[in-house]
Amino acid sequence: MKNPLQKYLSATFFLFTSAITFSQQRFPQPEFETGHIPPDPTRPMPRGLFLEYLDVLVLVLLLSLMTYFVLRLRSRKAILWTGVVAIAYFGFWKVGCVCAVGSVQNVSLALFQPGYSLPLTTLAFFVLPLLFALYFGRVFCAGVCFMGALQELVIIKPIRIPLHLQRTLGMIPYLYLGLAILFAATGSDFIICRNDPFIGIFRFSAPFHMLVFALLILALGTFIARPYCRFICPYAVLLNWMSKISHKHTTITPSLCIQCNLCENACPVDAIDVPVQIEKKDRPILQRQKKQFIALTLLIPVLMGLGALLLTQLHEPLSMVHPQVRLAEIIRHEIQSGTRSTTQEATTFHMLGGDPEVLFAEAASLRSQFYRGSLWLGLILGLIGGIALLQTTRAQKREDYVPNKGHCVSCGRCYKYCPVTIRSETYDKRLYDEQT
Amino acid sequence: MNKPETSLQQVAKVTAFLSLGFAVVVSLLMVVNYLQIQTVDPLNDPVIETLIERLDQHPEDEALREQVRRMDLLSRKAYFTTLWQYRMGAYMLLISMVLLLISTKLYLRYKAKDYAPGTAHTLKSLFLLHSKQRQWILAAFFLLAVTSFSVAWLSHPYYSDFSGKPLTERTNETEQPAGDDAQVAAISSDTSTSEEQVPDTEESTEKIAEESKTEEEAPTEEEAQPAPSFPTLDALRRNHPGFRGPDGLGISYSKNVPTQWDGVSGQNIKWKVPVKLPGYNSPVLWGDKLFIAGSDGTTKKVFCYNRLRGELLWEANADGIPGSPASPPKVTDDTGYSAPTVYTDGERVYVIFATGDIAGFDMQGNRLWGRNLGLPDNHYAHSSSLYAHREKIFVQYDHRASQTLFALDVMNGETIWETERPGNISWASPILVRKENRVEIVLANDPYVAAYDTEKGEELWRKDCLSGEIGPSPAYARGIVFAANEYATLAALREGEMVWEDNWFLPDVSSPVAYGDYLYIATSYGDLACYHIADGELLWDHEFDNGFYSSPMVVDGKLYLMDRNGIMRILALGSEFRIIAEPELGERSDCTPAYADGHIYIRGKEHLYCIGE
Repeated sequence: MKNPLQKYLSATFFLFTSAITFSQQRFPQPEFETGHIPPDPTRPMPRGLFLEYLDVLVLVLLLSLMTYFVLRLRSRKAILWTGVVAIAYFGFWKVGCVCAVGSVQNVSLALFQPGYSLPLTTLAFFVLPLLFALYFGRVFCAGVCFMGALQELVIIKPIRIPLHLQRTLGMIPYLYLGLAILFAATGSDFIICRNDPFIGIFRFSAPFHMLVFALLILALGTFIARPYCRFICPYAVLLNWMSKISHKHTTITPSLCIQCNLCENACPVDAIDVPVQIEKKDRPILQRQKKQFIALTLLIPVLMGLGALLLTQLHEPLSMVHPQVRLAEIIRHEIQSGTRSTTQEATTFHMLGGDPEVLFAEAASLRSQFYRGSLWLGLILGLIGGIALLQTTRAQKREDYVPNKGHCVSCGRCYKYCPVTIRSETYDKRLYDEQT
Repeated sequence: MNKPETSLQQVAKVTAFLSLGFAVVVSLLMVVNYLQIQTVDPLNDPVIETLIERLDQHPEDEALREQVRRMDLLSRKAYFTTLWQYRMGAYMLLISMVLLLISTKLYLRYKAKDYAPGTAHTLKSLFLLHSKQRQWILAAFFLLAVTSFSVAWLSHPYYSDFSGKPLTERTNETEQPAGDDAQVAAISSDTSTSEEQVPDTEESTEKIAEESKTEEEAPTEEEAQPAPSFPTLDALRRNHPGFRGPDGLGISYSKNVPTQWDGVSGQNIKWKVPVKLPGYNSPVLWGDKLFIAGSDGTTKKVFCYNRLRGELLWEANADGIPGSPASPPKVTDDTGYSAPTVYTDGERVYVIFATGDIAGFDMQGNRLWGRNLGLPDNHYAHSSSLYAHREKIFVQYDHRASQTLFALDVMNGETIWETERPGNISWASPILVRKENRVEIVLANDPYVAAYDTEKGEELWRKDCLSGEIGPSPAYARGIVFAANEYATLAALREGEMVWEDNWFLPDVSSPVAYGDYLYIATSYGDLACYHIADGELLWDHEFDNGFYSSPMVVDGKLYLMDRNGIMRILALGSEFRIIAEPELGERSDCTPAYADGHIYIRGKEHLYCIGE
């Protein structure tokens, strides 16, 4: 492990994991012998502990297999079939819950609400794909993620989206991740799960709008590869970060690139970085890029301030996602207008003899949490936006066609586009020397 | 030149077209079906409603009744059939989509691949691309900022400021007509206005108002009132004043208590009467009177029986108390609205309910006072029982929102002192510990056990040792307090210092009892264990068939412990396990029996029993 950043991240991971494990539920839930038969839940039934551990075991197994298929076997077919297995197991059998994407919210809730006990298995679902990404790239996205695998299967004739549009749409996951953390941390809602387009397919049951959303995403996915992974998935943000510094990432060619240019259009997610030639005559451009870099660096604090201002202005509408704040608004309106709301929440509140003052105090406290959360979220999003702008001032000389470590989902489509099949120790050694 | 299609490609192409057509048809049908489901509501079918209205006018018309039933069945069947069709449609759509996908992929597999070579970037082309990216990102930022600011600015006036003044002040300022909630809020903040606002509670509030008025305007008249008298320790021991007997220690001083009875055959059953209102509180005794409480949420009552004959002497309501919630809170069936046991000091009876209503009655059933301590925020229900010492009633009021120990005046329910005790919700009851120079009240909650001075409510010691949902009350013997809870620990504490600890047998409802050298623990799983109090040595344990919610008591030199099926396990005290008798009540019971004067009083699920030879 030569990369110091990688070392640091690994250490942080283990510390983070151990810290959260301390807040594990120490004892099983108490049992009450009331004779009450609980009704069937509309969401997935809780799974036995054994099955939860089995899920983790299957996750580890599939991640390991996928790593082998991607890095050693370089078999697109094996990658696809692993995806089919993931869809069958994590999608249809496990009905999609808990998944790595949604686990972001559980972890956020555990970090910000000490009363919440994070199940160890959920933590494993959060950490393991990131660890694999840190070492081997986004092998999780290749097909272990059932949502990614499903989108991979429906790609029929992928088209290329203009790069500037891709970069702009690529900012959405950051915003989505930030909001998901904010809502989870304040105990408001798990928006990733609530708006998961695929879950209805695996459960054969979903609200109508979610089914329509799922069909739209899948239909779109036939010609725009993996739209959810690229432009929505919040977990992909974290995987992208990890994969960027991955220790061993997949390559397009099994050996040395011969500059044949055949693979340039092979990637359906546009994750191949093409060679960049920089010549002496480009000096004025480089100078301009430097100036732009300085100007945009100075712009970052402004963007952060703007982000903070923007999000804090929105803290009131954002707080309405929390059921208690919504209820407080309803009750306040009732009191001010002298009317009675017919909503179920308000009726229940009155039936239980709720105290409006207590409710309002709670709502005020939640609003204040939202204000603080929005402030931080605005600052971070401003910073991320600034960094994204800074990246547009960077021009690095590149000789070969290489996968973009952050965006590549290790799907293996590019393998067959490479005419180089010779593989020898000499080539490998040269390749290794060049890479390191 | 295009390659000619193979036969496999042709089959794949046809399959793809067919699957696509099928998927489109199924999708359309599903949309129609969905719209149908939206309009069909089997519970509010207008035809059935009309028929029901007609049936209300002619209730004797059996044919019409039958028709309503048939129509109702038909409507439900139609609804569920539509749902089934919707689900089947989803399956068919999925299969057709999979077929479409496979066939399209097969078809495209043999088509020539686009291996068109790309071109490398020059720095200039990259620079132009980056410029465009920058413009787009900045444009997106701008669009987002404008939209967000607009949303925030437009929506701001519609959101309330919850961080301002209390509601009552704000509503006064705005002079809005007050609804029921405003009344409740006003009552809780200013009792002087409650008489006008709650007419149905006039009597009780007047009583309280009169009392306070008397105190304020003519303090000398206080001397004219009869001075309250308090029972001696001896009197307390002769009776059974509260949950688990005098001071709540689980020790009864009654003698010649029977060991044999049979609830089914009636052997040694002196009397048996049905319980009029549900409640998990245990009977208490004073003189020839027996008291229990009951509530179904709307009605809250105290019942007084003649304990010798089983005759109901009086029943008194605890309703119309100012500040009482308009609707009962949600409680679980295994706790109910009346889990706390009442307390009597021989002069008065005190009762508390899950609504937070607490009231005092004289021995003839006249209500002396009533007040509401605030709706308990408790997901099962409030269950902590009451205890009194001299002029104070103690209420362990540990709820999610706040944890407080109240000392209320036995004469009028006014707060003498209250002590905030930060922690978590609990369901345990206090015990009183009598020491040479003072009486202490010991409480258990999550995460600590603490003792307080009964005079001023000052905390004397505290020890963090518990966790979870604390149900069992503490026990006390020979200077050591014992506290335990399931999934936590069994702790022996001397003045807040840990003497020993064990976690082998832990109760979650039943409270432990300590007597002599021994501590007895009964668990919900049916274990009964005996520890030596000095060092925590486990002397014996035994697993019974049924679990225990009722608490064990030391009575007449024996240990009495009722299991959840109504079988009383009577055991010899001491270091050896020995069953003396196991008489059956023939009815489930989770309450702790009361003992006095050679009799046992048991509250079963349905009946109240008196057992005596």
